[in-house]
Amino acid sequence: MEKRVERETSLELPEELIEEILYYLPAKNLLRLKCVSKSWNSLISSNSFIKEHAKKSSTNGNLDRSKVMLNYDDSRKRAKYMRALCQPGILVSCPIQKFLHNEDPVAAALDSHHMKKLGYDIQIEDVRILGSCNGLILISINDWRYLFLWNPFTRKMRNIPHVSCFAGSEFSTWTAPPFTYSLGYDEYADDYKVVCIISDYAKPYHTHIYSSKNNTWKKIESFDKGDLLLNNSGKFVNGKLHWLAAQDDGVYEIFSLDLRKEKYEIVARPESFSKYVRPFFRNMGGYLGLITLSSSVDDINVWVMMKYGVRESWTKIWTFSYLEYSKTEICGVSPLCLKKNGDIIIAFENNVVVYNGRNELRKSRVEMLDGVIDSVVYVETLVSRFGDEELGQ
Amino acid sequence: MAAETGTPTTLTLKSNDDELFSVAESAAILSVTIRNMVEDGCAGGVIPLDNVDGKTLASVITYMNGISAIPADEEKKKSYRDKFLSDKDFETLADMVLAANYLNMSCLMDAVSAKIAQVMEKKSVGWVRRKFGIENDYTPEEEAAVKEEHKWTFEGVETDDDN
Repeated sequence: MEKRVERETSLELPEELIEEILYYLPAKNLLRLKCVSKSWNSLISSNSFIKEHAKKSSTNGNLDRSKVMLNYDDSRKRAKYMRALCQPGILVSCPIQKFLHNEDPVAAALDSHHMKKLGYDIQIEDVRILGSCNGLILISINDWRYLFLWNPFTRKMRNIPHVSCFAGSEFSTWTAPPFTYSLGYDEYADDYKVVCIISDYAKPYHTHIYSSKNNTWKKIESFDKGDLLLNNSGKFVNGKLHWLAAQDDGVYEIFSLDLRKEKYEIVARPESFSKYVRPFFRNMGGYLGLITLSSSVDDINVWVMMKYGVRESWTKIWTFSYLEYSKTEICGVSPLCLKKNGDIIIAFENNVVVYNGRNELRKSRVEMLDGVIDSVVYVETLVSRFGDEELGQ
Repeated sequence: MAAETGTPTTLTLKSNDDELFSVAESAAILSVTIRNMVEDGCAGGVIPLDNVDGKTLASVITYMNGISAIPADEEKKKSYRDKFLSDKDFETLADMVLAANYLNMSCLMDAVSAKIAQVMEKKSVGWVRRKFGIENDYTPEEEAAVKEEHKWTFEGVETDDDN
């Protein structure tokens, strides 16, 4: 092989323009382009590039690049209503585009063989997806015993210690654990943070925050503004984690935790929200999505806060009357993605539907969805510096 | 050509190969560089754009006119941009990214960068080196090692005749 330069046919773009262009490439292409030259390799490996690439990838609403991580359990297909009894099974990852072409995902994203190579000799069972941010996913394995911060693309993972007050606790005895773990990112400090809220069956809720940079937990202000719905982990949007909390009058309010200021704040909710029961959140490509079941008319509604913090911007973008269908579990509804043009992609039962606010544009059947316990949408990134190990340049 | 006799809302732009173009001020100020000149009162005569050739400037002006004719509808603007860039080859796109950077037009800059990235997606490492004029400074052993490390990322990519 010889060095070859054909300057007469090429355009020498300044490095900062090349960098701008490379931000638009998927993570996989960037790894390949490390072969171009030493300077491209060091650019693509640099923390500042990886950080900016992750930021741009997560906000560009690019459907082509969005993937869904599914927590899938085959036995659930057979025992649909025995949610609490089934053992959550394997994690599989699939591009959303494949879903829209009726393809079932096949490849397992996490296997015990790989984990063993990383030094974690544990059985992968009873997995839960707790959150996602910048291509990283927070999972618990083995009935809450282990917490991992994981980049499914680079396959790097890091064990996160439990909050110290859990040490020695019998994890398996909890049917409904009295705590919730959530993942977020403090952009200012470039620090991935895990938040643990503990109800302890008593108020206020103690709140602990873990810094992956320092590998330490610390206690921050407690939450005392209502009954938190701890069955859903906080959703990370706009630099903040979000939870729902029932007030004394039964109305749900939205609370956020700013990961930089480490302070709780109230967030504007939809005006006509109070009559809904069993609400939960989804992160819809940078927008906070709220799914509500209307108790009076048996409708499921999907709301999206189009402009962060603005009450009037909450828009009802999907309504589904489940009386038209067999009365299956309503938790089977999960909005996956909000496209830039306002179309929404929703998985419910074993269908994936594209809806434009008025009409169903497309519907495809994905058999595997029947066995899905939880899922999260993410875009692959090169983020790998979320621990004390000094990786990259 | 309008030159200095043009109405107050028309500007005259001059490319680095001395072609003159007249363009509505309202469209031209999509370029922050030109807008600053207008605001500073230095846009009275001909505005020389030393870093842009006539072919590229003509294209940029087509874009300026096209996009400013679309009312505030981000979706329509996006589809205009997609259509505008759809038939451009790599060299034209590279000229446009340089021009958009010089003229400080962030919407064009972002769209062209994304388009170039899209063109690059399926291309070989050798193609990228040639088009960007990058010298391969790896030794064959070093390159083989980097390639081996990221072997799986080479699936589904154009093969390189010369690599």
